[in-house]
Amino acid sequence: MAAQPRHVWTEAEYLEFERSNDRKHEYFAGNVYAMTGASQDHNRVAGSTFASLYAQLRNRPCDLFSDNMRVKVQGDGLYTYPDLSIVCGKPQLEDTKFDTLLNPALIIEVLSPSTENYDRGEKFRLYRQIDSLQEYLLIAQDTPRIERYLRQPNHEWLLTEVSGLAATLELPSIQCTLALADVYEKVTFEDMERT
Amino acid sequence: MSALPKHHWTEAEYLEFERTSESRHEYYRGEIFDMAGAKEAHIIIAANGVTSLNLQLRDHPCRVYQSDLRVQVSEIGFYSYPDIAVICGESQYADDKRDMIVNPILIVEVLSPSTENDDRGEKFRHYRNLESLQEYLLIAQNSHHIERYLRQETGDWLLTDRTGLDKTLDLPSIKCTLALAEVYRKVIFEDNLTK
Repeated sequence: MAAQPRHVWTEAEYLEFERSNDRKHEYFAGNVYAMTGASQDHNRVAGSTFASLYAQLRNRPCDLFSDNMRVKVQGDGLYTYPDLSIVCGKPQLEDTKFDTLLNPALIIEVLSPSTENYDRGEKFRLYRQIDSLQEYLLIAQDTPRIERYLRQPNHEWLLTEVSGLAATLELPSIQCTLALADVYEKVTFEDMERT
Repeated sequence: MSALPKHHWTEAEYLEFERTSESRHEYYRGEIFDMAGAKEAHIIIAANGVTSLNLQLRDHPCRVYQSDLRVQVSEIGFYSYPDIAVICGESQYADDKRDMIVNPILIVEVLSPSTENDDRGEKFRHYRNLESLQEYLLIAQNSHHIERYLRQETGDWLLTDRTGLDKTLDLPSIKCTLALAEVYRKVIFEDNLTK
């Protein structure tokens, strides 16, 4: 992400700009950041994960969004595009444009070298302020491994890690199960760390 | 940290080099990393942390170590110098040179822009393999913020965080309490722009 040289943007200015722009940008605290493209494996992992969860959520009142859905963290003023976001029940949107989600139950980010630090640190810290958020998944793209943060009482989060293509991970917030073999179906790992 | 240009180092080669070297290096899977000097805020935070813990552990069989203590994270070929490490009871050493310990109960890393990604990701994942480790603390150096990961009986880790100088954080593994006002005493933030 590179900062666009400009003054401090208001949220309204950002939304107007973003809605008339072909490319995606994040917004945080008055700054606008262009979003970079993703690698092949990033797309494969995100796509396979979407497919697995979509199949499981088919007959349930849950909506699954790819990285075209903007999510807003109220308070600190973050607008971002998670790789996947899921709402069960009625989606709450910022306004009548239906393009900015306020109440995800689950957010998933596929890790990239350029954004891993942000996804683990500052961005997760901001996501934790979303009251509806129950689970946050970080999926590695270079090795079969998923880290799951599950909200606990008292603003605490429980970290569970699974690795290996034989592993599965429960997602209590949406009552789904992810099989790593499905998530990584289209990925060929260079070093054979498949244990 | 930057990697030194050389062939694939064995652990024995690293240890021989490190024991005669005047500066410190970390080792990970055949690579050696020069430990960069730290910023003033980083140094003061680490010293404040050591001071607070030392005062509380005076009459307990626990010892607080600053960043000169080398920790061997066994089995995977990883040697590091945590900013702060605490050992309760007898120290267990990797070999008869007695300069590498394997049984910290608590590790603290003060976050720097250059090492934050490792501290949150790769390094933490390896620290989790240390059977003795019960708690892992990440202290921000650009805001008043501490994150604590506490090992659970299930092998999961519970994330708790505290923000603001009026907050305190309990450290159950060593029965201590850190007051953020003490940790950040005399610390001046270099830059409030965290993005």
